[in-house]
Amino acid sequence: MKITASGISKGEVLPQQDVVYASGEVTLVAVEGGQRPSVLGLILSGRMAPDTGDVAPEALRHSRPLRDQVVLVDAPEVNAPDDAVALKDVLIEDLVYACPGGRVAAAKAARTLLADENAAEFARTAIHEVPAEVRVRLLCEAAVRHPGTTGLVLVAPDRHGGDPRDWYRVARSLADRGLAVVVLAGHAAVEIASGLFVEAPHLPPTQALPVIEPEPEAEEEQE
Amino acid sequence: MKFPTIVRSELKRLTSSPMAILALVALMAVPILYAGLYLWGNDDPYGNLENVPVALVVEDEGAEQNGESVNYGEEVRDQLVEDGSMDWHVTTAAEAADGLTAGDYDFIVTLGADFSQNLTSISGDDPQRAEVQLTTNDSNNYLATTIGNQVAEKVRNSLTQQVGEEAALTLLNGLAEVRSNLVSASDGAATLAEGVHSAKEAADQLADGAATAKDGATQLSAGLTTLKDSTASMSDQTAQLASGARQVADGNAQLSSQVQPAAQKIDDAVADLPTEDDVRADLEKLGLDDDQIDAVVDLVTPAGDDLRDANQQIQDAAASIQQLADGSEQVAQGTQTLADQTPTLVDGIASAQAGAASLADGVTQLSDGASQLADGLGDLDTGAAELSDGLKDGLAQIPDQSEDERETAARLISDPVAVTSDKYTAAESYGAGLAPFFISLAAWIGIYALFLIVKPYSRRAITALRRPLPITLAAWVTPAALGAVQMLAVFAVVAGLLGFSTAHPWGMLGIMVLTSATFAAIIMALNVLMGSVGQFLGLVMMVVQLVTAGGTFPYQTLPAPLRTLHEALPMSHAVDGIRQLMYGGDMGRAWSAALVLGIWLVGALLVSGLAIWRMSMKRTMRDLRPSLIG
Repeated sequence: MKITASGISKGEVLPQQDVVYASGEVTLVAVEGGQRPSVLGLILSGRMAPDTGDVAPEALRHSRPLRDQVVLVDAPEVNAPDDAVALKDVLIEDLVYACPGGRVAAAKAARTLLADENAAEFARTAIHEVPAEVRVRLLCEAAVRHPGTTGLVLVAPDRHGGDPRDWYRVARSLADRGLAVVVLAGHAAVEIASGLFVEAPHLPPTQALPVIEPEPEAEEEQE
Repeated sequence: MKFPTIVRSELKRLTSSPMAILALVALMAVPILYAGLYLWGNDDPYGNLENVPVALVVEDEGAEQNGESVNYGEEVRDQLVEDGSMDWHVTTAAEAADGLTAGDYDFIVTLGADFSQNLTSISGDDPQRAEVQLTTNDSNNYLATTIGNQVAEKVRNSLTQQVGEEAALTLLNGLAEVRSNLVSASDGAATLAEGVHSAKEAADQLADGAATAKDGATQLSAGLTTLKDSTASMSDQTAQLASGARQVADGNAQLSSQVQPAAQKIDDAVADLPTEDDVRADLEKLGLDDDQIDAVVDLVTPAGDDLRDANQQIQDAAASIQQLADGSEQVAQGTQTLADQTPTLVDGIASAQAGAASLADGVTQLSDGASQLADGLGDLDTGAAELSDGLKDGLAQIPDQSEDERETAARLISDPVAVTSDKYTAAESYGAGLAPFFISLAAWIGIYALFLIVKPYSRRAITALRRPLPITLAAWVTPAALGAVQMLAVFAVVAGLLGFSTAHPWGMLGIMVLTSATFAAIIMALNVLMGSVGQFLGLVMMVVQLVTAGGTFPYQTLPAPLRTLHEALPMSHAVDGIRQLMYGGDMGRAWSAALVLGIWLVGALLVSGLAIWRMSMKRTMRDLRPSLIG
């Protein structure tokens, strides 16, 4: 699946740009400041209509709307969890949204997830205290439990600090599972992450992936 | 069943840190504080007037009433101070004025120098109105002016009642005396009328009798006049008659004197006649025979009989003539006597006639006079009857009252109208009367405060899901449940702590919870649609409903544009419903109030649901805008 967002813009918040992301690839988009990351995230996941341009998915599986196939993760002021809530409760909530069945099943799934991801120690920790990598990983994993998910938009993971490599690795592993992954982050983070792509030999090279590398001149444009 | 999780998530968020918990508790307590404090403070303001300072200035110089000196001003003062219903301060006019300006007194009641004078003047010739002067200062407190007016009115009423009663009693007593005199007059007039009536009847009879007498006397006079005229020449005529009768008598006497001797002679002669036997004897002597004797006797005897008969006749005639002579003598004597007496008779008749004439005149006068008397008495009779009737009517119009009855009447005249109040339902105090309004307001304020920290809808949910129903329900249930807890606490304070009585406690709690849930839906809808602008509109709506709900003055006193809002807005119905259930009124109205609230609830939820559905499909920049309130 390939989603092409061409000529999209939103008011004065988002200047015109193009984004393309496809299954099995991690697309990094540099966007920072205020609501911009969240707005772009909403547009790319089909939850907001852009003022100009459109978001055109190709070969949508099952002809379902884009919104139902692409999940939006941790977008600030949109669906980022409230800082003081415990990790476990956040996961339960997300799993209730993602999975059919009630809260009890979700609670069980949350326990399982925490165990699988070796994060059980953080179960009762307020989410803003949870290490950035753990947070991103667990939120993404919970989100993709949604049946029929083919894409994921991760918004501003760099705002939590930490090493960009950590969340890049999460994105990478999700892409390896066949998802179309977009990460929206600040310029500095994107630069480091895209540098990672080159420097990390343990990651399988996927030349076919048209990574949107922010070239210096493109960076200027996108700003 | 996603929505319980959404609710739990929100609640977890609200209780996630100690500060958050504190904020939640504080905001939950807002309506309790609002309703509780207000109702506690205003439970019975009219019962706590004894702390309101009021100046009382009495300058009354007193007056005379029924021979005693009275001073009503001082009486009123003593009564008011003793009553203690307000914090009375008896001062001079100057001090009171200063105190009023300075705010030491809320109003002044003044009884002037001529207060008693004017009060007592109402039973006199020149009644003047007495004045209770009320001086207020709105810069101290406007409602104190209202209370001052009521106090002055009460003083006026009780004085009016007292003084009016005395004056009315005086008047009624006077009237009772007039009445008893009138009774005597009426009795006398009745007697007079009867007497006059009898007199009139007698006079009528007299007049009739006199008229009859007059006719009779006139006839008598006329008759006697005729008689007199007729007998004018009677003397002469009887004299003539007497002389005639004398002549007749003399004549007859003469006749008789001549006849008698003749008759005697005849009689003698005849007596000498021989009888038949004699003849016979004689004849026989002569020697005749019997036939010849018979023949002679037959010739002679009839002659002799005839002579005897004739003699008898002559004797009878002579006797008759004698009688005639005697009779004529008597007649002559009689007529002589008559003739002698006749002049006297004629004179007597003349006198009688004269007398009868006078009698006739006199009786005529008597008759005329009697008629006039009868007429005059007729007028008097009518007049006396009118007088008697008039006095009776007048008497009937004056009520016959015993002393007790007069006192009662005097009391009622001075206080003719009493107001009895009949209550279908009763609020037990001023505070209880306002409680439904303040509970409704507290419900709205409580929800409003909650929406400062409760999110109107879960953003995480609308990002993850595309199903509006659980999201909307959850978004409503969270504040509604918290609101129900608020209402439970308010109810506990109102019914338990403050001790207001409630006729249907469960019903009242139910409608309070419904009210809170409805308000939650409405404010949620406002927030969902318009974000922080919606929250602000929630405040505006509260102010509008505060004015139009009719919680204090009846809503009909509102200006027309606001009055139309009364029926439309939900708080009016909430107030009405709580009223019915708290005081025990009409259950039908409570149900219709619940119905209106239910309609608002469902409507607001529908609006929210539609907006949330739209947002879950496609968000707009407006949905992302940050809250102005924070």
